[in-house]
Amino acid sequence: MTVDMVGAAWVLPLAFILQGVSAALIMVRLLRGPTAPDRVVAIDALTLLGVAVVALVALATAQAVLLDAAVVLALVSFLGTTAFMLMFAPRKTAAERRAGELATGEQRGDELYGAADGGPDGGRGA
Amino acid sequence: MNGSLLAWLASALVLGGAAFCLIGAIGVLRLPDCYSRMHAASKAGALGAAMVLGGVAAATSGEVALEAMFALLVLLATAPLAAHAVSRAAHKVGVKPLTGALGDALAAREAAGEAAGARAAEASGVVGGPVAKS
Repeated sequence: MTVDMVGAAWVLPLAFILQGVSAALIMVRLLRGPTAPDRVVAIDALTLLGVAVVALVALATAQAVLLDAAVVLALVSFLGTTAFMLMFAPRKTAAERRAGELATGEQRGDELYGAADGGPDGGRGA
Repeated sequence: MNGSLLAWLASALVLGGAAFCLIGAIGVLRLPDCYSRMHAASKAGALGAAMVLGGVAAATSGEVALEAMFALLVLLATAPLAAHAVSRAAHKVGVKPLTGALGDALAAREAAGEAAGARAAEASGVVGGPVAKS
């Protein structure tokens, strides 16, 4: 692939520096974060930043295959964040822990149905 | 002319995307609350990454536009889902949000659902009124 940019000699290094500063700021939040969800949010932000950095590296080295790595990184970031959400899900009994994913799915399903039923009711009430 | 326009667009998109990533990172560091930090990370961060990917598509004159657009689509589809999942899980664990004048609507809805018991679905439709009034 041929890269055609205006001022690529200084745009790409400047973009890399900005991304590096962003990564440092997010790392501060990741290390400091008072609660666990803060750290998960920081990890989510870091992987989003990683997608951008991989795209920048693809530009700087003119390697088109790195964009596939960006796609995979975005997907894995989503899976990782969802796994952290399952880790936070409150589980009380051993049966629930065994069927942990199923239990959280049931809870969410109930609330989703509640919201779906609530929509038309709210419309009629208003 | 078309090529130089795309080259300008590519530089602008890459620099703007990097700047948005920086703004999102400052938000993740400085905002007071887990939920508002999620806001900064998922919106500014996703927009920054999307702009950088658009810059990649423009810099190669559309040569790798298909791959870049696919990455962009995956990013825009998964980032809001992940942010919503994290904030919902944080609320379930018991992290209190800093609330403004409108209060915590999800907590009010869950409290009403527990009170109503089996008729939780009905209660969640009713509870919109008190939250909006308070």
